[in-house]
Amino acid sequence: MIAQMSGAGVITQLVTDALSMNAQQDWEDVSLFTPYLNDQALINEYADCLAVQTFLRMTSLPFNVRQRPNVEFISPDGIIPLLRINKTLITGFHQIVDFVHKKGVTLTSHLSEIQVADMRANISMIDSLLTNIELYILWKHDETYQKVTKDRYGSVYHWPLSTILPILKRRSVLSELSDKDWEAKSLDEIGEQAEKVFRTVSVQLGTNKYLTGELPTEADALLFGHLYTLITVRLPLTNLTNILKKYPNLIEFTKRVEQAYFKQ
Amino acid sequence: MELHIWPSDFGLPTIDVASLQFLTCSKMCASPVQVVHSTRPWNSPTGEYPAIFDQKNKPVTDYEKFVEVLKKSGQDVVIDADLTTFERAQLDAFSCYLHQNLNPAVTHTFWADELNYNTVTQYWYASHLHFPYNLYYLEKRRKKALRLLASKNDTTILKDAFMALNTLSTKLGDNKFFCGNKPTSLDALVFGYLAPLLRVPLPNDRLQVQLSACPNLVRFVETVSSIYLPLSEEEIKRQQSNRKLWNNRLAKAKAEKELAKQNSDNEHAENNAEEPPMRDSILFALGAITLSLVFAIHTGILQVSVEDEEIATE
Repeated sequence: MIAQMSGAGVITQLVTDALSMNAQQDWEDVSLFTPYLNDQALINEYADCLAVQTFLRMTSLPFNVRQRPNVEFISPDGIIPLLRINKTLITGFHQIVDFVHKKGVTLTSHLSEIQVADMRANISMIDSLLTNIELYILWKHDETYQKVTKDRYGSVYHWPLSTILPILKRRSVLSELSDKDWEAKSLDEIGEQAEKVFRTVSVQLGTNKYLTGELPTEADALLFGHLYTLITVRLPLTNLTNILKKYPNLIEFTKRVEQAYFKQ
Repeated sequence: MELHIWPSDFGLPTIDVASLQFLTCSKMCASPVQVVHSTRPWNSPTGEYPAIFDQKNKPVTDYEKFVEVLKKSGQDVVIDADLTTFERAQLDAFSCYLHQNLNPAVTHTFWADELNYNTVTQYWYASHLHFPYNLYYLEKRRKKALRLLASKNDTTILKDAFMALNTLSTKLGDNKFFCGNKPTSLDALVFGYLAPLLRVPLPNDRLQVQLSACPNLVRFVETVSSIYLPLSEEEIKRQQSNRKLWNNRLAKAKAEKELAKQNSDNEHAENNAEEPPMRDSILFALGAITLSLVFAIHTGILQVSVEDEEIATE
């Protein structure tokens, strides 16, 4: 009895949450807030912002991108990027996909339940592993931190904030990584993890146009976001790019998506 | 090779999720690894069980590496050997998916949920580890669990887990294992997450209820545990004798929960009735008057003439 009641409590909570997102409102005057993509955004942020943009373009919903220096602090839970519809704020790739889905716009209606399960697994792999790998390289790898991360992260602040904030952020990211048992990994192990992700998606992609066949899904958007970032952004550490070059179908895929959604 | 894991209880060969995954995987490929039930986790390089100790190599505590070790150990049964590259890719993706979506909820259920932690987890570890170390260990592990869960709120964690359970149920369908008729390293992972949820008696059992609603997952757990992890007679007897104690604790915790709930309901009602409370308004009034007086004296609207009197008396 108690269990059922608390179970019901959770469901009530879920419904309340869903209603508070106010999915019924019109899709008007929608803005996507991102950091300065060219000078400020770090690779994991860049990848997420790009993934959301790709996803929205795939659904052909109109939106405009606004670049702000303090999106991290505008966002209620610190997650980037941020979508604003009237007065509703939605943060992060997953929640935005969820919201768009609640509005009845979905890219997965042609898939079977098992395919949707596979797609979710792919999203979760791309998201968790690649994000952790990127964070590791940005904040743990000393050369990258000194040459890239510190300057980019501090670029929008004046001294002394430009020196202090990167140090604070580094500390918090490193403790987060160590809780996930990632901080103690060596660069070779990071390479193995990256290889695992690329191998997995490369095998599933095969010679298809997209991961699940002829039509794009949110998994493709997320994958494109990360791959495009890893291919185009130059970092002092070239391991990841070298591993990625072993999978030509992924590079082809990235070019194809870029052609389809970012070149008019 | 020695596999060090936490002791058994509640009809499980080991209490801990990760230990159970290691054990199941080694049993699935009939590895001759020697299983040691131990309560001295400081021997392990990470300070946590499970850990594999081998004379030649460094201790292994990572599941993926453990699977690699099992594959290379030259057994007749090699785990994940007959899979196509496509199936292997799906396996990797799913293990990530579970780690991201189901693991937080399982950790939350055992380590972050106040009532469950006090009733079962804390009591169990505290009675199996010796005194002052058990305090340190429990605190360390709970803190770590809480830090890991901090980025999501409780409802999201549960929502993700419900979704993950449904996804798993769909994926399993009517199959015996997730990749057809042969067990894989993914089956060991899933079993490790699900079996403790089903077997350990918990006062807050939202996840258990949701899991029981997927009959094929429950059947999967029963199958795996009866084929690969049968308990010995003595084990069963020993666990039976403890059973009563746990049931008592469970009943007590449930009663407490009910009571707390009623109390909070009552308080809620009372609070609503006498709003705003009298005391607060009096305090506010006093504060406001004091501030006004201080301001008035400071700016010279009011003048206190103490000196005059002193002069007069002189």
